[in-house]
Amino acid sequence: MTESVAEIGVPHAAHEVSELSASYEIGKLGMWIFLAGETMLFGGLMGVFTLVAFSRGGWGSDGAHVNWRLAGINTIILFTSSMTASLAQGAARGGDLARVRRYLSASGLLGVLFLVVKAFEYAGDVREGFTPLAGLFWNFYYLMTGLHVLHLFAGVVVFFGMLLWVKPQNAGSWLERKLKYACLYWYFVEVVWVFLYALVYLSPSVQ
Amino acid sequence: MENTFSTADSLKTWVMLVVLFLVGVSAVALGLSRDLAFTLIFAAAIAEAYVIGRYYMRLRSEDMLIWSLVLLPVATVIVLAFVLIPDVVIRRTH
Repeated sequence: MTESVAEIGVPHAAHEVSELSASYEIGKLGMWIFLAGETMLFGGLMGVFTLVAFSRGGWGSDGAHVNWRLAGINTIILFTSSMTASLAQGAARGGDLARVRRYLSASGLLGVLFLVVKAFEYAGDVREGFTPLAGLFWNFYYLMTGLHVLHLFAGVVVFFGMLLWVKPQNAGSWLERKLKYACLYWYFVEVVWVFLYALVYLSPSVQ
Repeated sequence: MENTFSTADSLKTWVMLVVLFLVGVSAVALGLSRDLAFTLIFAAAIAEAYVIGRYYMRLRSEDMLIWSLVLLPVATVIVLAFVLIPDVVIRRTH
């Protein structure tokens, strides 16, 4: 009465899955689908921010108080962390685990530095009375930059977590793939920041 | 190209990003006219996103499926924003 594995078609299904895996990198596809959702999230917020600014004829004096210089330092920090992430990917391809560890740690630490600078920026804003309840601009400002900070924090955790995987037994395509997914996420967080910086920091500062 | 992205390429990409960043910041720092400043700021941001996508995310070596996952959400957000514009214009005129 017991059906064999072949009769219920499991090997056939498994074969199809393995064929699909062979023809397409499932992990990478999953990451891109995730990033597509994130694009809708941040894109929607930025779209609403722009439309509200347009409907009010700009942000007036509120927008002029953002600290675009400090945020500019953060932009350079993020660019540098992406460069080290890219170098970590290159080192993983070359099988140089010591360099992978070094560059991954650098990316993670630069992410931490970004968060520290951001904390100083928020502290300065709050000291001047620009709390999240100070007006519509500041509602948007804290919502969008706060959401970005959460994403960046997640990336830092992933980078430091990945250091545990950088072992000789994991070296090769497995480590390369995992690193690629983590870096894809990090680069996306960087792209989001580029637009946030233009929209929330630079544009309202134009006189 | 994916397997030939070297240390020098990473550094070149970083330099490109920093130059584009300086272009955007100069629009505010130099006190340019409003229209020119907005044009420069957003042109620089789009160019930075392009550089990151092309060189770091390796989008140029991806197929249509990945490209559609990138472009469809962006297109959807733009279309939805445009759909709301008449509402915003009516609100401004009243």
